[in-house]
Amino acid sequence: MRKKKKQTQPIKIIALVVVLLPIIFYILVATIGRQNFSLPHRLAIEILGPVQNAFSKTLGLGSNVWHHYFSLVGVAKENEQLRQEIQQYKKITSSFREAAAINGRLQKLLNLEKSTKDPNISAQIIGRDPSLWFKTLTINKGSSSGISQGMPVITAEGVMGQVINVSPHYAKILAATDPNSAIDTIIQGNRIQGIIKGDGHGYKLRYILKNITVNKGDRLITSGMGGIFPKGLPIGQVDEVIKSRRGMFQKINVKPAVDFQRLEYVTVILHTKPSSK
Amino acid sequence: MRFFIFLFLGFFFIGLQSTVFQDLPKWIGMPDFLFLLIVFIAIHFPIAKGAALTIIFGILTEVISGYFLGIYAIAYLLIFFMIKGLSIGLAIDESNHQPPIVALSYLLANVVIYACTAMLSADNLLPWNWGEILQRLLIITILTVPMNILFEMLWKNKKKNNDQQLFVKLFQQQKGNRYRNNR
Repeated sequence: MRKKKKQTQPIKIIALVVVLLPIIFYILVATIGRQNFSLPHRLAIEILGPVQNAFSKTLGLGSNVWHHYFSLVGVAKENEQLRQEIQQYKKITSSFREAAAINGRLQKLLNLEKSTKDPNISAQIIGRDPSLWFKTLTINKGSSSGISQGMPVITAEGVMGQVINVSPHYAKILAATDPNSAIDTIIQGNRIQGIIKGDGHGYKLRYILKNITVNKGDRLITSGMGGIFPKGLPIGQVDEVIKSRRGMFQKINVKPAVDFQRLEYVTVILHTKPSSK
Repeated sequence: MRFFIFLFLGFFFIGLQSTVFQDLPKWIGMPDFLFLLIVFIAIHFPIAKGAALTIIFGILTEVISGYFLGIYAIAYLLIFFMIKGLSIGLAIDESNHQPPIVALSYLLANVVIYACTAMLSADNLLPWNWGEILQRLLIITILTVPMNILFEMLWKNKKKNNDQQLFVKLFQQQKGNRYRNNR
């Protein structure tokens, strides 16, 4: 009887290795490259989401205490600097108001249709990609709030990314700085079109021919051509222009309008149809 | 029970790495405790339970990281079986033997993730940054021994409890040949 038990043990291990493991491997390899959450993924994010939420809240509380009570050194100096900045911004706002008023009058004159704003929803970032390679974030709103795959995500500063996966209460965002991200763009000054690609830290502006003049500081906005982002959202500013001997195109580095390190809240534009305003 | 303790620990580490560690200064880098846990699991757990834990951690990681799904589960599982294979022939369960294995397997895991992403999206090659990779390798190598001690404590603590229960059982079995069941 004992001998039989001893004999069945290696058979079980061999059966496990020969039959079960290749099946597991096959299933995993078959699912590789998918971009939609399957049931285990949805379950995983629904379980992990509250954990991230709890950590984020604890971190926020700790950070709040630190900033309000312990980190007050040099606050007077910072206050003075901020007052000066407010003065500057007041001047800028005033000029913007004037520009908006002129724009409004011109629109009326030209009988242009008023652009309708898409509905949107705010969400909190509860987790960030811990890997070396990717730039994704997790937010605390999902399909139950009307969010679906492909929706654009913005902040007050400009374009932030787009929704790539959704579960009922959470969603994964692909940041515009991720190498897999591509956004159609226009250089605001000369209206030249290009593609903004993420490079892990900032952006690269692709497909701009060498005979086109692009200067440091030129602003980039969304073109609305990709059908995902509405037209006119700020993307960033040209940081460096390199014209190498080889190739047809310039190498242009772009500084993002959004500070990805300090993001806490984002806005998801809830449009389902491709936007080509 | 151990399965659930280490599962909980994995959850805790993923939560920690995707939230609290993101605010660490850049020069400190980002310690990958989850990877150290997977290495420990590969060395100490039986194949079926260890592989199950590794797949769960892979799925958990890919829901918060990366563009394509399935890559982490494959990469972690490959590392699991590689270390499992090594642990049969070599005495890598001792703490001081582990840092080079952890460093090598971490590098290999990143190569697998990089290669899979490159195959799935050839137009969007990820930037291979040796500086960041070496920084992470250094951190993970330094943390191997202390984290391994922590995991060993959890592992042995559970084992001790099992031994105590076994002792109680043995103590209660006074009659007959008490060694019969233990052969």
